Amino acid sequence: MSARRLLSCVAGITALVIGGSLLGGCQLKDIDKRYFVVTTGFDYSDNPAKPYRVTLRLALPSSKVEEGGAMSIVQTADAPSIAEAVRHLKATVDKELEFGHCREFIFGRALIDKDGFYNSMQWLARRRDIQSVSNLMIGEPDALSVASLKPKSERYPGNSLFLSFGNEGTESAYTVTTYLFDLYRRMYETGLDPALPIASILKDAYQIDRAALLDKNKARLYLTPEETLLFNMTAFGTNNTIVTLPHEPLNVVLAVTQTNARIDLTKGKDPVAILKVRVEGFLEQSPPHLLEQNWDGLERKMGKHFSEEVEQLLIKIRDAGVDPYGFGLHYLADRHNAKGSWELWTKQLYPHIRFDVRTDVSIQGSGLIR
Amino acid sequence: MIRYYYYHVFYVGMINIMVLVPFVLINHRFGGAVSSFPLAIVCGTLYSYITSACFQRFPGLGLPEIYRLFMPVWIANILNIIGVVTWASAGIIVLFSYSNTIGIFFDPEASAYLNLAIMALASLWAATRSSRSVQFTHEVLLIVCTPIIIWILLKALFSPWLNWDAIRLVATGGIRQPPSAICFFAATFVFSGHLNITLFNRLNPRDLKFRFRWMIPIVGTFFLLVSFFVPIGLHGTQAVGDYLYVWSVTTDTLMMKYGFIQRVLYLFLLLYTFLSLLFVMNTWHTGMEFFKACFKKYPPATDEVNVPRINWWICLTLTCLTFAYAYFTNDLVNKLAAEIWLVMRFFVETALVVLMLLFVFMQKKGLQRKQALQRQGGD
Amino acid sequence: MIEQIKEMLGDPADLATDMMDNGYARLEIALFPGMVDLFQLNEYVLKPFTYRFDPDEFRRMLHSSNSFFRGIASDQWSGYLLKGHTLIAYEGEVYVYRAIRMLQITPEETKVEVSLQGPQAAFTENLDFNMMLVRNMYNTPDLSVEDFDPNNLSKSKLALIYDRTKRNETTLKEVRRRLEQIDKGLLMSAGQLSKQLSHAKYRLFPITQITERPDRLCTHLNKGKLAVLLDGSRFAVLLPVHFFDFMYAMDDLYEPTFMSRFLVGLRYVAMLLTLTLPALYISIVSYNPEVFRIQLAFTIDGSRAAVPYPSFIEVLLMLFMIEALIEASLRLPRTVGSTAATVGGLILGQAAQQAGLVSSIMIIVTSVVAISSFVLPNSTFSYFIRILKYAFVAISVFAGLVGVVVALFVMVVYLCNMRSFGEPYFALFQSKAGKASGNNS
Repeated sequence: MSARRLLSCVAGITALVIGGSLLGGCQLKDIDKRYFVVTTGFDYSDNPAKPYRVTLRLALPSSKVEEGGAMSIVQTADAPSIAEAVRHLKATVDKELEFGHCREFIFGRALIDKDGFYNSMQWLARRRDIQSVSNLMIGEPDALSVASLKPKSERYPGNSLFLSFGNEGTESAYTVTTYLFDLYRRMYETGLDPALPIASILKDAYQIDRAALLDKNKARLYLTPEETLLFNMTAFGTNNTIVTLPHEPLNVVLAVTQTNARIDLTKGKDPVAILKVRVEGFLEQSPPHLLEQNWDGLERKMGKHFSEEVEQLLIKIRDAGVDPYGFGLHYLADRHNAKGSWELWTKQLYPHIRFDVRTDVSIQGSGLIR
Repeated sequence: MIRYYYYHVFYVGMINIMVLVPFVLINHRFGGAVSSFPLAIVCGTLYSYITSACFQRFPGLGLPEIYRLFMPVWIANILNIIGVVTWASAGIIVLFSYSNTIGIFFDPEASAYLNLAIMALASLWAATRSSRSVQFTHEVLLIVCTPIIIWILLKALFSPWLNWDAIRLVATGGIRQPPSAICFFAATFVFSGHLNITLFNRLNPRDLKFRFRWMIPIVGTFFLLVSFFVPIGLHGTQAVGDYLYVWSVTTDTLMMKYGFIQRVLYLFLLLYTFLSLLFVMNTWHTGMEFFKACFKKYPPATDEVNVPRINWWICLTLTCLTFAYAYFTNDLVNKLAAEIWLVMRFFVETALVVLMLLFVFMQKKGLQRKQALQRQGGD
Repeated sequence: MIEQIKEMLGDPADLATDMMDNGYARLEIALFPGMVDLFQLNEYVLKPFTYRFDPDEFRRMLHSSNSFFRGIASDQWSGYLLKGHTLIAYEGEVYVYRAIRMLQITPEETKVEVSLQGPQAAFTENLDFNMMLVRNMYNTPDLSVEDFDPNNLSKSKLALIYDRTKRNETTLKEVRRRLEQIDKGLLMSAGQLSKQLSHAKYRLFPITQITERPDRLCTHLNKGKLAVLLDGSRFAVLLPVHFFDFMYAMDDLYEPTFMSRFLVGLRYVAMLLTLTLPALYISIVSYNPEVFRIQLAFTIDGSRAAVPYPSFIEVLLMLFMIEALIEASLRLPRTVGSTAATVGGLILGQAAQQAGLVSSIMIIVTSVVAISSFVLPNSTFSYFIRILKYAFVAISVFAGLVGVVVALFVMVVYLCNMRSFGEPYFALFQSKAGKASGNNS
């Protein structure tokens, strides 16, 4: 019995050691043998043989985390496709590339205009180590320059750009946030089109205050910052925005704390697109005693002004032939995805649709402390 | 001990993701998926009620023992072997799909067999334990995992990125289609937690009352609807069809801003490691016990301290089969195998329900086999 | 008689023998003076024999008093002598007189399981005194005690204690059987006893609990479980136990409910940390740096920049250091112990990190592991956890994070598969589960 036990023990240990050295070991790759990619940029080079220029910003870690202490290097390669470019880039660095923490992907404006984002997305969606909640944006003038900016305020590489999106750091009303999975969904969805923020450089910082509206591949419409603000509020319900009303001698500015936006379509053969917006906030700037005079009237006036602005924007978007609000999807859902309704919508209904924006402004307070 | 019954109901509801039920359903999202749901809910609930009511009449007896009561040995053995194939293959499919998922999301460069090996070894060991130990393990892990998994599901359900128009489109469009058979089979899987009573009824005491059975349709419907509609809401009606491991990708759209682990995906995968291992443990254990029931040498035992050596041999065989399966298949074949299994499972389930009704009828008429009666009396 | 005894014992120098003659009768006496209560001997044997001698009364006393045993076979004499009894030969008969010196008259202070506000009394090394402590605290007529005299070298008496009305019969039988099987050899401590009772040598978790606290023993009895006291050991063995029993300190009963619940939760977290943290460190550093948040990845990356070897060497190195440190400060005299901690903890840790031998995160990991393992209230259990973490380290080297999770699963299966004297070791909602097993068996 004991001899058998000894034998089995020895056999077990041998199997463990052999199995262990066969299976493990080779895959062990320590963190200091990896480069963390923090920003990736895709550009369109004008070389037709190698149209894709991929830019990677790689973090150089330091043991001390402090403001301005972030170190990084930027590498670029041209190749016939993105995957090839990344493979090629591996040859220029001494460590394994790690995309798991890369949450910023920048499409150069030239790429969007000439090639579109469809081909790049094929690579992005297949890489499982890339997070679905990565932020996507258009870089202006190109992705390379945006990716190579190293802001002085960064605590660790890539942080600054990352914090600009969503509600992680600053909550800017001008910044449209589009995640990877969202872009992928909008790329294929019937009746819902993508929108991407545009990042450019202003001195030593990123400026992300515009958005581009795209069809399934290329950009159709570039919005101004003011339009971006309206679009962000009405399409994504972004909070912490402002609503203004031109007024003498001083503009009335409502600081919005709560935004709700819903789309709807009237029933019937010739539907009207309804956009219901409800904003809540307090006055951040106004002529003195304006509120005491006519609270309700002011709310209505602001709502009306806002609705008009939004309607202008919606018509502009409609005329560009894109549908980032998802009116088409809503229509299909209303029609229970019946046959032929999609053709009817794109060909006949959407190009001539009328909009009805109903804004409900609710002023919570005058904002005055005294 | 009624709670052990509901553990099975719960975790089979959650594990449906790993046997590719959402994938099958989503493939037919514009076909008859949605319209087969009501049928599946009714059918699944009905089956659960019937089996639990029938097994209540045979306290402390597993399915093989009940076979022996009413049937000649050779028929009982054939039925047992059908059970072995059904259960063991489910374990193998889940083990393969899950180790693949893990490989894709954790270690794309690693050898696919490493993950499979450690998971297979863990389930091999777990499945050879006694039924009571298996049940305890089940309870502990389920109590730890379920709240977090439900939290993840709810987080997905209440995600601001969830597009209700897409869900509405699929739901209202799909309900008008004629129901599809494969979707019906797939959807009933969510309710088939009651199947595990076939073995674990051995552990049920004489005075067991099946209370709270109204929970079965609620739990099943919740998991069914969530696992079908939430991916559609988050990935859109079109893009959702591109994913094989659709729920892994769906949880990746969620973020825990303040968590140590920021990607919910990883938390989800780690939890589902537990669940998948549990599933494999349960299925292999059940298969093993069914196989052992074919021989007189191994009387049903639920709480032995030293498990018989045959346990190891059976589970080792299953492990080897898993490796063989992994060697000869890929995702595409596995997908097909999962679909075939889902269909087969439904027929086995139906046959079981019919058999159980028959047994109860025979019991009332006193048509038990004489030997069996004697043996029972002798106990 | 004296000659016989001297022959049996090999005439040791500390054996006192005497032949007394008061003029009327002769009395032979043999004893180990160090083990005998000389005052009692003087009062009840020597005085009546010498200057107040009355043959009838003396004979009556010898025959009737319950301290004197008659008719002991001659081969057992040495056994009694060695336990501190006195042998008296009078009128051709041999009596065993029980006057054992009680060294212990006050309970010990608790040393291992310290309690803030609970009882401070601990068991002593005297079985009778310990029984007194138990009887005082668990004062019901249902308390049953069974004596066992194992046939081994030390011959220390064992007492099996249980509550007659609450105990589980199958468990009791099993424990009795095992107590009778105790092997020959020295039995010196409760730890040894518990090892022998547990049978399996290679177990990953203890299935008996060793305690020095009478109050813990009594709460245990009250749950219908058993306890074994060993003469000469200031610890009792409690059995059967559950995994969860090891997570309770006695203070939990005495402190506010919310606080004690919180503390119990803390202990579970600490246990998990001790088990998995080194393994998690390896998995993150070597396999899946993308799993945890980006700041953490960068910090670890930065602090590991100077470390010359792979993560698991680093972990093993630091774990070795901390284990050595714990072991050193445990065995060293108290006065030197704190120096060891200072040298090891402060100076070495700081220097090792600055020299670039280990990363600063690893220093934190090591200290968290050490501190967490101290949080566990039971030292035996804490030992088991300490050794188990190496299994997790091993699997994480080969399989990373997935391996750690699978190992956790295996551990849960192992725990659920364990039985402590027939009772499930790791099953939730215990009482009901016990009932179910009763129904089936």
